[in-house]
This record gives sequence, C-alpha cells and structure tokens, in this order.
Amino acid sequence: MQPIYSEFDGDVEWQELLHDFIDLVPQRINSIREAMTQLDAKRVRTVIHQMRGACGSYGFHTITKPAAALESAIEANASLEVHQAQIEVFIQLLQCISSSDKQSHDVMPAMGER
Amino acid sequence: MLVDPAIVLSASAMGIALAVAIAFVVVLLTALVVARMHIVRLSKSNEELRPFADFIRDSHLAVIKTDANRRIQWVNEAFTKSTGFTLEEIRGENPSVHLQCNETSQLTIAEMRRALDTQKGFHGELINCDKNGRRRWVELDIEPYFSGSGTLAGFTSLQRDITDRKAIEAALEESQALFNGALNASIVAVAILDQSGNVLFVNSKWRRSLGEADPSRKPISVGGCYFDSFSEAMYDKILNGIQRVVNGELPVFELEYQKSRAPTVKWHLLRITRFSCQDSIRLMATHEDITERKTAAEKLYYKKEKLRSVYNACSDGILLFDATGLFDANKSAMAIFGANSIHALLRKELSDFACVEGTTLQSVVEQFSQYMEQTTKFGESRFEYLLQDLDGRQFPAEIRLSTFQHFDERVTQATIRDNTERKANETRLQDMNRQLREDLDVRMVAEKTILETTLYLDVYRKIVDHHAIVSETNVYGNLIAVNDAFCQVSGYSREELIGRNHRILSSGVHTPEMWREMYRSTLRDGFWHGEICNRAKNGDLFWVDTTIAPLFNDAGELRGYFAIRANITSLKTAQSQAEAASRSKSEFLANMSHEIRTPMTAILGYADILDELGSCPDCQSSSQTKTAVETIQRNGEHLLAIINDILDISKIEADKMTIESLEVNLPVLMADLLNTMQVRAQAKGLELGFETQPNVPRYITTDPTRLRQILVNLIGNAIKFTEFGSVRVSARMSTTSSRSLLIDVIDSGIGMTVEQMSRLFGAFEQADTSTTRRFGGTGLGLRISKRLAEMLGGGISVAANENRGSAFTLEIDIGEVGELSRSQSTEVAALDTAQRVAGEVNAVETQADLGLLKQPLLGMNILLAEDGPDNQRLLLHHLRKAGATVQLVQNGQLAVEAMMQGGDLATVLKQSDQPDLVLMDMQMPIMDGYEATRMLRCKGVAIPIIALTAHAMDGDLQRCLDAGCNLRLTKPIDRTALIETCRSMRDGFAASSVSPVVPPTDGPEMLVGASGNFAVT
Repeated sequence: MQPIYSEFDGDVEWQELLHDFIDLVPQRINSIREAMTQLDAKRVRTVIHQMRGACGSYGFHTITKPAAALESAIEANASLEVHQAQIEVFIQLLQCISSSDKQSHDVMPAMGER
Repeated sequence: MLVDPAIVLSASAMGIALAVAIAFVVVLLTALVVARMHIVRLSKSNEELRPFADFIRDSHLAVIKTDANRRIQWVNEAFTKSTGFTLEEIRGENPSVHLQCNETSQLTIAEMRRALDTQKGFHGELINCDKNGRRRWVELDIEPYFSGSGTLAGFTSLQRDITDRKAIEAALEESQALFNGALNASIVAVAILDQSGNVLFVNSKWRRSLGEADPSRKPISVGGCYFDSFSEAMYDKILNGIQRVVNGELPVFELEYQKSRAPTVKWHLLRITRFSCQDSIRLMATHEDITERKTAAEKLYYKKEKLRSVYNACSDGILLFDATGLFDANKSAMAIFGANSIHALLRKELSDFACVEGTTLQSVVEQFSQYMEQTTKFGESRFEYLLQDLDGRQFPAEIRLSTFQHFDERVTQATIRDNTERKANETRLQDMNRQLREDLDVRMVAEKTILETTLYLDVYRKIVDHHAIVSETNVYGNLIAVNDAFCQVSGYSREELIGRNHRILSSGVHTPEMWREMYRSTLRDGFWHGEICNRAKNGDLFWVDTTIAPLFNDAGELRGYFAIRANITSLKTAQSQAEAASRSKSEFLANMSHEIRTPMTAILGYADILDELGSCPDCQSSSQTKTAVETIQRNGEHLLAIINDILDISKIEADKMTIESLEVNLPVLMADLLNTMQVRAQAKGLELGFETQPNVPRYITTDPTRLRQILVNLIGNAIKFTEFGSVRVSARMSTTSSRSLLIDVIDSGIGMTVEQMSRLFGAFEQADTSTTRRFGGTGLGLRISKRLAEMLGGGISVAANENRGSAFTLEIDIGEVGELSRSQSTEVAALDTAQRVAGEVNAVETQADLGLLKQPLLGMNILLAEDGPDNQRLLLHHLRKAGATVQLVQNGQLAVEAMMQGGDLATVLKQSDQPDLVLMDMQMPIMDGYEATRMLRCKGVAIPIIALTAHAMDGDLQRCLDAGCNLRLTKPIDRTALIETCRSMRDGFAASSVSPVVPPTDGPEMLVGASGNFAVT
C-alpha cells in the first residue's frame, strides 16, 4: 500500500509533531489489537475515535472518514466479530501513515549496519 | 492255307473271311516281295504271318485298309458289325465320307489329316456315326505302310468302340462334379485327409473360413498338414482322436472348441470320420460353426430352468397328467398333498384326490370326467372341490384345468389352490368390511371438515399473500418460502432468497439482544410482534411491522418460523417527518417567544427608565432620554418586523396574500433599496455593489412591494452572515425565457452545507438552530421570500459552499417587455460571479492570516481538558507556540478540580493565575465535557468554555450550548481557527466582562466577531 502523508508534510514547523505522532501509531495499533482480544468494544471504539480526531488534526485526512464509519458501525453493533475485517483494513491504513523525511531517516541506520 | 476250324462258323462267312484273308495275305506277300524277301523266307514268313492275318480278320477291333489315297480297300467283319457298312458298300470310298458326322471333332480330323498327309501315323479318339446314324466314340490307330520300294502303299486303321467307356467316364466326371459341388456347397468346412493328416482336398467353405479364420496362422490347404491349423493345446487331443478313428476304436471323433475373435466368441464342432478309398484309409474332417446352436441351446436351457423355477416357485400346486395318469407335479403340489417325493403321486388320477365323503366314488369319477370333457371342449375349466391330501386332510380347493398338446400326448394341467386360508380370510374380510364401512362414514365427515378447513386456509393464504409480506424459514432462520411481496420489498428474486439465511436482510439497526429477545418471546409466547428495520438488495432500508410464529411438526418439534410483515416504511417516514415538523414548530414557538420577549423587555425596561427620568426632573438628561427613546424605537421596529413576518407567513400559509401587478422602474427600485441596505453593510465594513446586464429592461411588471421585501431579506441575510468581504447584487435575464428576470445576491460569508441548503426554505428553519442564537431572526424570512417569489412567477434557488459564501438567485416573471424598455448597462459585469466569490473568500483568509500576530495568545492562561495523547500534543504545541500558558488535564473531573483548586468561586475569580479560557474535549473518560461544563457553570465559572467535538457529532452542538459552552470547535483542529477563536474569546470576554453572564445556563449569547470555524455544521 502507498504511504499516507500529512497535509503538513514537509512543513518545518510540523516536522517534530508529525514524527512524534507517527512514532506512536504502532502503539495505537497495539491498543486496538489488545482491546480486540479482550473483546472490549468500548475501548476499541475509543481508540478509533481518538485516532479519527488526531489523524484529522495532524493532516492525515484520508484516515478520518474510514475511522468515522468504523466508529459509528461499532457504536451501532458492539459485536466486534462483525467488524473484524473492517478493523483490520483500518489498521493497515494506519500502518501506511508516514512522512517523507521520516522514511529516509529510518533507512539511515539500516545502511550503517552493513 | 490252314484255317482254324474253331473259327469257322458258317460256310459263307468262312468264304468271305477266307477271301479277305487270302487277299490280305496276298497283299502282305506282295509287300514282302516288294520288300525284297526271299521266296524261301517268304513261304516261311507266310506261315508265320497267318496267325496275325487270322487275328486281324477275326479281331473284335474294326480294321480298315486303304490305299495310299485313303480309299478303302478292305474292312474286317468287326468293322461291318460295328458300323453296319459292308466292304462292298464302302470299298473305294474315303472312310470319312461315311463315318464322320456333325459331332465329329473337326479339330481331331484336321490333326489326323495333317499326320496322314505327311505319311505319319495318328492316334486319337473321336465320334463317328454308323450306318443307322448312331453316334459312337472310337479310339483310332492309323499307321501308314510302305511298298518294297519304300513308297506309301496305304494305311491300316484299327478302331475300337469306346462309347461305353466314354459313358462311364462322363458319369464319373459328373459324379466327381457332384461330389465337389456338394462339398463346396456345404456350409460346413470339409477337408479330406490321408491317415497321416496330409490334406488331400478342401472345400470352398474350408478355404473361406478356416484359412482366414486366424490370419496369424498359415491357411492349411491341399498339400499342407492338417495339424498345423491347431494350437498345441488342441494338437494332442485331435491327434489322439484321429488315431482312435484310424484304428477303428471310434467311428467318429467329435470335439467342440472355442475360437475367439473379438468381440465375439465362436463355437466350432470338429468331426472326424473315416472311410476307405481303394486300399487306403481316408479321413474326413468337418468344422462347423455351432455358435448359434450353442447359444440357442444355452437359451433354451436357461428358459427351461426359468420355467422350472417358476413352476416350482408357484404357490399354487400344479399337477400334470397324461394318458397314464400323473407324471409330474411341482413342489407346491407336493406340499399341498403332503407328498415327500413325486413318487407318492405318480400315476394317480385327479379324481383320486377328491374327497369321497358324502358321495360315491362312482359319482366323483363321473363328475371329474365331466370336468375333463369341458376342459377338452373349451380349453379350460375352473371349479371348486373338496380335496384331501395323502394323509386324509380335507381342504376346499380351487381347481383350474387346462390341456395342451405335447408331441403325441394330450397333457392335462391341473392347478390347485388350497382355499382353507382364503375361506377363513373371507369371513374375516367380511367383518372388516363392515367395520370399514362404519369407519368410512366417520372418515367422510372428517374429510369434509378437512376439505372445508383447507378451503378456508386457501382463502386465508390468498388474503395474507395479497396483503402482507410472507416468509417461512427453517429452525436456523434459512428461508424456505417467500411470497411475491417479500421479493418485491427486498429487491431479491426468489432464487436468490431461498436457502439463504434471513440475515441477508439485516440492516444492522437492531442489537443482537433485540434478536435474541425476539426468538425468546416467539418460542415463549407462541409469537412475536414488533417493528423491524431491514435492508433491501439495493441497500435501502425499509421498516416492516412483523409478526413471527414458530411452526411445529406433529411430533411437537420446532420446524421453523412463519412470519408476516407489513411494509411501514412510508408510515415511519411520515412519522419522523411529522415529528420533525412538530419539533420545528416547537422550536419556532420557543424562538418566537424569545424573539418577542427580548425587544419587549428592552421596550418595557427603557419605558420604566423614561418614566423614572420624567418623575425626577433633577436627573433629567437629554442624552439619557434620547438613548432610551432610541432603544425603544429600535426594539419596537424590531418587534414590528417580527410581527410582520409572522403575519406574512400566516397570510401566505392561509393563502390570503395578494399580489399587485404594476409597472416598475427597476434601476430606481434597486438604487433606493441599495441605499437603504448600504447603511447596514457599511456598519459591518462590507462592500455592497449592484450591477445589471445590458439586456435587462428598465421597466418591468411586478409587485414592487413584494420584490423589495424579498430583496431586503436576501441582501439583509447576506450582510448578516458575512463578516468580511462583500455582498454583490446583479440583475440578468434568463437565457431560457424572455419574461424571467434573475437577480443574484452573492456573499462571501459562512456559506452552508448541502444538507443545510435542503432545509433552508422550510418553515421556522435557519441553517442551524444555533444560528438563531448567533444571528437572531425568526427564521421565517427565507420562507416568506421563497413563497413571495413563487407568487411573483418565479422562485429562489441557492448555491453555497460551507465557509465559501452563498449565492441566492431570485427569479421573477416580469411580463411582456418591449425592446425600448431594455435598459442600458450602468455597470459592467467585469468578473465572473464564481471568480468573484472565490477571490473574496481568499481575501478574507489573507486578511485573517495578516491579523495574526506572531504570538497572539501571549499572556493567556488556558486550561486544556483532553484525553487523546495525540491531540494533547498538537493542542499544546499550537497554543504554547501562540504564547499561551496551558494547563493540561486528562478528563472532565480533573478539569473541574483544577478550576476549583482555590475553593469557592469568589476565591477563584480573584486568583490571577486562573485560566482565562477552558478548551474542553467533550468525549472523555471518567467525566465527559458536558458534565464538566455543567458542573463548572453551576459552580459559577463564567470564563469562556470552548467545546471540542468531532465532526460527526452534529447533533451535539445544541448539547454543548445547553451544557454551557460558549461555542464549539470541531476536530480536526484547524490551527488558525483555534488560535483566532481563543484570541477573540479573550477579547470578547474582556469587553463584556463588566457584566458576567449570570446565570450562565440561560445560554451563551455571545456574538463572536471573528471568522471562527465555529459550529455551523
């Protein structure tokens, strides 16, 4: 899947904020996964709700709509099994969150290890 | 000369013979002389030759002597005897003249002549005829003889009659042909062998079949060895057989053998017999294809076995009689008569089995012979008779007699059925019949009831089918039957539905608990009734009023569910519309009460002030009086406008509004109007412009009062909802109708969403209920304008983009206009309307950007209540960067605690480091924003509280306001809007902080002067 970049990507003022945000995305995904295994629909919904707001605020607007859809779907039906596939897709979408300068930054240590 | 006395038969004959002999001898002697013989030797030879002469004369062979010219000189007696010609008759003649006939082979004659012409001898066979014309076969020997000088003297010819031999030969040939023909015609392959197995003869069938039967083996033909045609397995068998036949141990050797030639198996019969030919032993080997015979025999055997099996399996006893009595019986017959073997029954007559009790043997025999006669006459007879078995057991029997011819014999067949059981059964049957008849009557009644019930059910079914949506499922909820209405409402075909689970229609609207309860109560109460929202194939939702009942089988086990439904979607829609309308009316009433009360309060309040001023001449102040009067006037006018609106809409709704039709000078009307509106526009710093296209007529026909009213409303709204930029009015002619005038009112204000636009013209509506608070007004203006526009023969349409401004277009009918009344353009439409709007909006943003100082929130204390870590960081970053001091709390409860740190409100208000503003996320754990805001307001906290909510929570705006928030910012957070809103709230609050809004729960009345991104969703 293609990386998803923030609207503010490349803006020096946003750089640090975006990096911090992106670094914490895996943690958010873990939270969702953890809540899924515990069948804690409320927690899943809360995290997705937060991600929805945060993604929008950090300029990742692509995420906002699917998150909203997922959030209201879980609200309508708390049975997580029904949404499992949708949640997985959403997680994949989250994994695509990236920034153009972050990528190159990540590659550097890998090259150094050679 | 000596004559053998034995030959002398008669004197004459002797004379002739003698003469002939003498002549012959003379000739011979002459010849001998010619041959230079000595006299002595001659006489001596004469003596030696005499027996030959005698022999020739007396021979039974016909002898002819001719001269060199083949003229007959002499013939013997045998010639005369065989041909009938005497010497006298034919002397000097050529023999052929008399002896040859038509049948004589000309080929042989020609050959003969050729030989004689060259003075050679000739030997041959030919047909001659005698004097009587009879044809005779003769064997001919002709030799020339020569004189002493060696010249040809003549010919002697000996003829033997071979007619008899020829006849035998012909017969033999015919017999041979017959033999060959017969053998060749035979369908059996035949070979004649000698005793060593050498093939001497084969017939054509042999050549055809045996030779070709197995292409891998060389065909055995004449000269070959018979044994070569057999495989080794058969070789010994056949050799042995042949030896035994040759030795005379066996008259004939027979062997059946199989010959496989795919796909069929052929059976052959080999027969070897022996016969003698002269002294030799000959063998005749025949090979016959007996496949058919074999098959037929097998079939026959099978048939016979089958018949035998049927015969024995037959439950009736079958007895067969011929002239000597019983000769066969089947197993059933033996069982019926108690016989262990057939021998116990053999030779008996049928009458022997009859029971004689109560009658005489004589009459029994008579009676049976009568039956037999009947049978002979009609081929069959049937009767019942009391019989007895070998042990004397008596039993009623049903007897059927029939006869058939078996070769010379007349065979009678008796079929016996022991009726003992049947008789008993008959009695039972009669009883049962009676019982059955009684039962039948009962059943008839029941069936009638069932039939009637079925008819009723049919009618019910028809009615239900016609009236309702019907389906039947199995216990798992899989559909097993649906009616047409079901297909129609769901959009699925019957094929798509049958077998699928009912969940195919699930809308996701109902909770799993609801479904569980539905099944529970269906089983508990025998039915369930309620309203269900389903989803059709095309995704549309539909509501059905549903009754479900469980179906049980006759064992009382759950078999499935039966459901009927009525489509109540339109009812539901109508209901929600009605509810919305009702809500709308209530809101309107509430708004009106508020709108009317507010100016009334002011009027009454300032009237009191005037009163006080009037009663206190000392404190009389002209400026105060003036302010009071102006306030009363302004509020009075406002009140009047509201009342006018209400009256107008009432009139319109009641169809009481009348429209005039006057000639109007459009530029004058517009100039006057804009003049009036300009004041309000300027008051807000907005540019208000008007332009008209050249083809717009100067004079139009319409109702000027109503047109003015509409435009005042549209332009007034534009000014009201626009904070920066401009409001532009332009007039143009419709491209589709020469009678339609279009007037656009374009602003650069807050705009609207599509959803808002759709509700715009409804009664008592503003784009958002909250705008009523912000912008005031009855919400009736547009409704009135739209209805008025329709009355003027046109309408109002709207195009808008949220935050990008709106464009209202008024269309009115202006009547027929002459060319002269077309106005000249006063202003030129320089820019495209859309460009203009876009440009102005950009201008607004630029202005907003310019308005931001580097740290616009410097010195500001903000309490941020937000649980999401990402948003926390983002908000902290933005706010701190803008110069604000931010205190962060994780939830509502902590926010309240933070605010109440100093104890009571009074203390709080005094503390300088207390927040100037609260940014409150509304969705938080432990205590949400609503609750926290309400608590803060209850505790008297009056500082601005800005709600932070997500987009989707549209309905929550009112909740935010009700809870006591001043306004709402939506997520995603827009930095500019956030900073600007915080800044303006601080400024606004500072300006109005002289009289804090108490009690705060009355609702935030704060008007914000900035272009915030605040709630208009």
